[in-house]
Amino acid sequence: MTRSRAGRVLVVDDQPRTAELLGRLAPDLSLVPAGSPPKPHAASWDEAEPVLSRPGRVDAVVLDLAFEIPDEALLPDRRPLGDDAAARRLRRERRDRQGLYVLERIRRIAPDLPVVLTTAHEEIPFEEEARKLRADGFTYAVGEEEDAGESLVALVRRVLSDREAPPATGRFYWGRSAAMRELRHRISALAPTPLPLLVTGPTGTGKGLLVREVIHPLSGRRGPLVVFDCATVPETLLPSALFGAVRGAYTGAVTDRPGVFEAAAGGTLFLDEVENLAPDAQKPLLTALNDGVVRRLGETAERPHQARVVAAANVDLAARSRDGGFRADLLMRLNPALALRLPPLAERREDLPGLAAQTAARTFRDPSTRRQIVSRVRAAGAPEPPDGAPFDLLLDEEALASCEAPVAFVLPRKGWKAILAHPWPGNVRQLEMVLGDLMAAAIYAGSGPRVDRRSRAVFALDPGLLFDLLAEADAGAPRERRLALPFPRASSVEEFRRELEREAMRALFREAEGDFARMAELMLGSRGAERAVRLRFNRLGLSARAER
Amino acid sequence: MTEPATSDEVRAAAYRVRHDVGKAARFSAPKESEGDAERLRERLARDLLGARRAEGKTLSLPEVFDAVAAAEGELLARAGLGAPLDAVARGVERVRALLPRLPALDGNDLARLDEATRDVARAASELLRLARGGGSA
Repeated sequence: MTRSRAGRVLVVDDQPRTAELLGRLAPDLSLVPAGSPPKPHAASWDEAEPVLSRPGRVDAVVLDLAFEIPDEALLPDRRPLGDDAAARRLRRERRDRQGLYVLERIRRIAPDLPVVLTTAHEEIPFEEEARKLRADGFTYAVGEEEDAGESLVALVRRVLSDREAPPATGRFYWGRSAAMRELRHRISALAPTPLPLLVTGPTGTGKGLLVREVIHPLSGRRGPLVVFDCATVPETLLPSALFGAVRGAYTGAVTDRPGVFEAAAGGTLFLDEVENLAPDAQKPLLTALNDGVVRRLGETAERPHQARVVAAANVDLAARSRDGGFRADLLMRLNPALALRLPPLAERREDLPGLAAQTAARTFRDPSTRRQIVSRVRAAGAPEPPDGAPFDLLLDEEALASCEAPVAFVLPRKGWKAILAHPWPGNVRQLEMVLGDLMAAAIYAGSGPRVDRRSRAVFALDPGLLFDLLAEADAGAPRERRLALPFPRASSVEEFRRELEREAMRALFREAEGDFARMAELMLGSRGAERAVRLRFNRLGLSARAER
Repeated sequence: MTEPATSDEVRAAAYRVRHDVGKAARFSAPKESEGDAERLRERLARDLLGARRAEGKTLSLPEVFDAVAAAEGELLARAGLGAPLDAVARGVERVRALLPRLPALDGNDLARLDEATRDVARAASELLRLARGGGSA
């Protein structure tokens, strides 16, 4: 079969309308026929499965969320529900999520196939399930703004074009997950603009790498990238570090010194962990963003700056702002609606093989590590691999049969299963560390490689060590903490809520032994919001002296 | 005695109106209006006369609405969503009145029919929004 350049699309919908729409608006797309006699769409799982089971036959699926046929017709292996009241109710309740049942089955046989889920909801419903099943969401627009067909074609084209995009930009690994593909498109639109940007995501997801490897290079700005870690600079030094100082501004200021805003002229200023910025530094930062000027400490005149600001946060800045720990106006200036969210690794497990391969490739590229590998290969009596020969990391013993590399590192299948199932609280960074440690143990310790019948050197990665590393990683993960609260008595919901908050504050105060910075850390993950926490404590009518 | 409907049932019933009727009414509406009476007529015929095809039968939008309303109307009314469903019905009635004369409609009537589909889609969206606990508009 000739592969269509534009892409081959299987439409799974009991109605022919979507296939007809795509056929009319995008005649260059190839609609994969299904069913018997063949038609341009699959009306049920029975019709879709034979097409999807043949590898490489389909480039993308367009799947309707709701079908007009009962579950047992859509999924013929399901037992009919019957016709009593309970069955009718269940059938009704399931009706607007039938596509998810089909998607679950698609994922069993085609884990990486792009799937566009179409829905008549105003937003993608059952978002969590859809995300877990890695669907690209498409929602029909509402009311008079409808342009469903054209938007759907645009999304399908985008999904298809993603197949060709390289999975990594420098060290930053995009992978193939729907969340990362969406992020990639947002960044390609936003990076070249002068808008301040906010990058969010839990620790270890690669926010800094994203800014260095992707956002700054894509910005088209010729100036430097200046990285400023808001968590590591002492509060008293923040203003001068950010905005500069003139000679004599403070003891020890013996010369005029520019701040990072001026240092990033014509480039990008990356404010990492911006949630740690002290309240005193937030106001001038707002001025710098609003007016494009900074004022050095000890100077009256303002200086224009030409830096584009990209900030990153580990915490929910909106929640922090509601609690008074982060200025709402500053947050708004960072364009939270356009925030670039890096998903936790647990939400992009399909990228684990690619990330593992990238980590291994980096290890193999390191000259001293490579020398050590070659030395152990030689010691084991295997032929010395030629310079530049590829080394492979295999995630299953069976992959060895088709491996062409002269040196292979093999992780037993049970090890890879453990990696797939791990929650990865430390995200990509943690995965890289665990794999790096595992490979280093095989390279620098252990009994060295075995030489197989094809004279390849095979390093066995130790699953026992892997389990230990994963357990250690878990031990370092934040544990769920619980507060024991007395049950408040109240005469209204509002009063109950307030009493509950008072009791929670008291319990936290005890837990933190009266240290407000520690309370802020427990509540918000950062000690920087100490003042806001103290304020809230007082507003609730609590007194530190009385509580001590 | 009729059991009270669950919120999932109400949401799914409203979704059915939105999906089968609201979405179908403007299924292939373009971003920019056709600006050409014959292309508009062609699209309205496609979307409104063939709103559902199953088991060899083709149903028009009013016929689909009648089937959906017969299946879900009572449940939606019991959930206090009778009025927004009536708003969908009013739009569908305007479609029903004009649709039999579609081949002969002039430009003004075609625009009125197109506007009626817009109202159907809007009303169905509003119904779904309310069913999902969006409160009154």
